[in-house]
Amino acid sequence: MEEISVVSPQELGPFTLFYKVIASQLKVHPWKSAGVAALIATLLLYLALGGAFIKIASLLQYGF
Amino acid sequence: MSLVISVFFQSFVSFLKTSWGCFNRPYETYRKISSGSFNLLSTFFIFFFVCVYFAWESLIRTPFRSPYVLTYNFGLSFLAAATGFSLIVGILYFLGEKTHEKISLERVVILWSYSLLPTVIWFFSTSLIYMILPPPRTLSVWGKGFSIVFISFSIALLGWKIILYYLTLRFGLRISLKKILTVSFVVIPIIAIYSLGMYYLRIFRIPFI
Repeated sequence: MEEISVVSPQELGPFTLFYKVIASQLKVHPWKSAGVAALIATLLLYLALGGAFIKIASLLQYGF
Repeated sequence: MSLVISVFFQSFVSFLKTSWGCFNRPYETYRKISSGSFNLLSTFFIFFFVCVYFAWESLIRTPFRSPYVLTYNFGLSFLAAATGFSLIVGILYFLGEKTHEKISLERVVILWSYSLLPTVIWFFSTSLIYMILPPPRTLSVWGKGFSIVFISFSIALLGWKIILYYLTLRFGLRISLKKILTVSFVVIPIIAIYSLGMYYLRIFRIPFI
């Protein structure tokens, strides 16, 4: 009981259901969702930026 | 002596289990960490790997292997990272006290320490890739393919970092999403200023947070 009530449930008004759907995916299988989302975001960035995308990758490699 | 070794191994096993939990089931793991009965010593290994990374990074980046220059670079990087870590923990603790009842600084430190896992992994892997496949990338099929893989990997780790940041606020400060967003409106500009400062001081191009 103490573990369940350590934080109060999130309430976001009309967005609560949307939040709970996303949170349930990220709680149990974060890398399934995050991995797919990362790949889709990358492909969209590549289509949007074209050659600049390759320059960004090169710059990021210097980032460490 | 055997007690020290036993405690060391227990802490190491706890670190490995918690790290795997942060990767696989971050919500449950962070809830367990914040429950209070957690081994603080296990966070020592995170800072150990951070030190190993900075030693490795100063070896790669320094053109000549003078021990003084290597030690200086290592010390500077470590000091800058420690400053960033302390700054964020201090701000989160201060804001947490303002938005909620008294919170535990130890809990915030442990939770934020484990959120360094994606940071260390990204920096280590980027430095290794730099050695194996030094930039710049070309517009060939291989260059484009590698760029897509590398940026996907970076975005995935960034997503993991954001999840751990959210969970640090959720379980460390025990606040709702609205208050998390309010706290973030304060924290993110401060992180941005710190990042710019580190960039202009030529310590970190990407902030080590």
